[in-house]
Amino acid sequence: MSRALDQLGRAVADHQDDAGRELDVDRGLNRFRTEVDRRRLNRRSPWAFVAAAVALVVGWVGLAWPARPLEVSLVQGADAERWIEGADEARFSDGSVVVAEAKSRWRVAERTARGATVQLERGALTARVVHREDTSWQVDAGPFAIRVTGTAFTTSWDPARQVFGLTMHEGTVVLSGPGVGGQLVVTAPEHVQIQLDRVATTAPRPTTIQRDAPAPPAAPSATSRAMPSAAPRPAPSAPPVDAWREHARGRRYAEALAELRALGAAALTSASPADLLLIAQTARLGGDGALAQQALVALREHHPASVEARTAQFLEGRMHFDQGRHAAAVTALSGYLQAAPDGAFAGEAQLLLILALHHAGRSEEARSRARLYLQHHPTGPQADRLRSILEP
Amino acid sequence: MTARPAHLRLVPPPSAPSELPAVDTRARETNEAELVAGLVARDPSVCDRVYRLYQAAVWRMLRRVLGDDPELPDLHHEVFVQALQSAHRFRGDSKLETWLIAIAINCARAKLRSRARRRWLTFMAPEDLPEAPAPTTEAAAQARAVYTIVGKLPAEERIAFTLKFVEGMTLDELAAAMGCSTGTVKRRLRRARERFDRMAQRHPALKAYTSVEDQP
Repeated sequence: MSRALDQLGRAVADHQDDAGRELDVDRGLNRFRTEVDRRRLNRRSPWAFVAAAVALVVGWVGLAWPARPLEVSLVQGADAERWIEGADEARFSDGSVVVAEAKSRWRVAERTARGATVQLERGALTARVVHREDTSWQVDAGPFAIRVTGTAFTTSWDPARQVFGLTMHEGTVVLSGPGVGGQLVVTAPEHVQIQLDRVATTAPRPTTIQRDAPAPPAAPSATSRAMPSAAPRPAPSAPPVDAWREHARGRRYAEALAELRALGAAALTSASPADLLLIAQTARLGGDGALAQQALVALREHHPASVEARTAQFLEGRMHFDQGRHAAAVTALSGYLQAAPDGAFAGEAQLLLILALHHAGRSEEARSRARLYLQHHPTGPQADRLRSILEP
Repeated sequence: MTARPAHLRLVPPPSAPSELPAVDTRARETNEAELVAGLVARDPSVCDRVYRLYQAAVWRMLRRVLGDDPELPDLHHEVFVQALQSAHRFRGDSKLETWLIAIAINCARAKLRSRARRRWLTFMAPEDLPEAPAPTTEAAAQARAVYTIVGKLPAEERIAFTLKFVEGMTLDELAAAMGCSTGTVKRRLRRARERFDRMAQRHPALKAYTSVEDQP
């Protein structure tokens, strides 16, 4: 019986040998030689390696340019990469300094060898960035981004009143954000204040942009802890925008939702990715599916590159599934798995997708995916449920 | 011209041997030990020699398992890179070629599994892939049909099936190459065969094969 298969196999082998794809031996050999050479170089004596490392370090020191991401330390000792509530001063290894005022919420979101990204969720901060060749610094104040190559300025963002402020002390920055119309070059001693329309939702527009040149306040020195007196400050009468967050964390969803409704659409337009996720979760658990959906959509639209945006896609899929909208769940979960195949919710998304396909009447696809899933996870969660899908 | 000594006589020149001389195992082992030592030392001339000696066998084995796959050159390179990395672990228990083929099969297995995972995660069904040009001969159509079907088998079954029926390996060779027992190989072959026969019924290019199989 297997003679026919042997014959078929031989015919296939003959076809491969006669007409199959051929190896470009010279090219393959050159490629292999390159690999051999690379590994030989890597195996040279440790002293050669040490000498090379020393030369490299000397080179870097000579240029006074750090090879690793900038180091940062806070005067009060907190972790600069977590959200910081209140005043503090961040000192960077390139000599740059960021001083945040009281009642600010901010963090150092990213550090590279060439600079850092500082996020200001509310309040005001003053930055003095040391200019070097190819410096790349950015300060995100609410929905505004300030790109810096070496300068000193004070910026503020009041999410409750939707007021952004930028006061230049030295140099030039490039500002972008809602209502700016592309990019705006702001040079010392200019001052920019932008008041966003509070009723705007997905595309906030400025109701006023003031651009003038006040007398420049004294910029902070790289070592001084003094706050510049001329920095714009959030209005003292700002409503307690943190209240909803406190309620949400305390699982008082009704109260949190009441606070959020009082804030109106501004709650979504000015929120950070983490806050939008928290709003979505709060709304979902508080029974306001529409707000949850709005928060997730805002998260994906306003912060499309963030990790939270991917999570939002998964949560949307789960919400659709919970509410019986299986076709929409398939779309959202497929999108999540494409964007984050190794994401934190990948396993759960695969399972939900199979179930959503099944309920949406796409049984063949559901069975095919269930079979694949069970091959890889024969004893995984929901394995029995998936096996029941496989049964005719 | 001097006269031919009496004790010498003319004989016809030797013809080409009908059989190749038996391999001198000790010479081979010495030779292979030198090659392995050269690989470990990253000796360029030895690395070149190893590549030239075994590139064809490795290529053939990868092509048997994967068919005319666009990633064959990359995988072929990967096999020799892995050989370079793990040469220090080669103990000479098998021939160098067998060892390299086992590496090739491991690389093919890893590639098949990663594709299966990717297909699972990215929802790219084989039928969503761009159409390849239509085969121009019956043999080409058969080959394509065979690899379309084995593309749906689990990696281990695909490897066992293609090496047995396309490459013509024996069970023992398969077991050595796949790093498992002959019993396991037989079990994989049986399953692969059942699935293959079932799917082959739907391929017109394999009609000749399935009609023979249908005969009592």
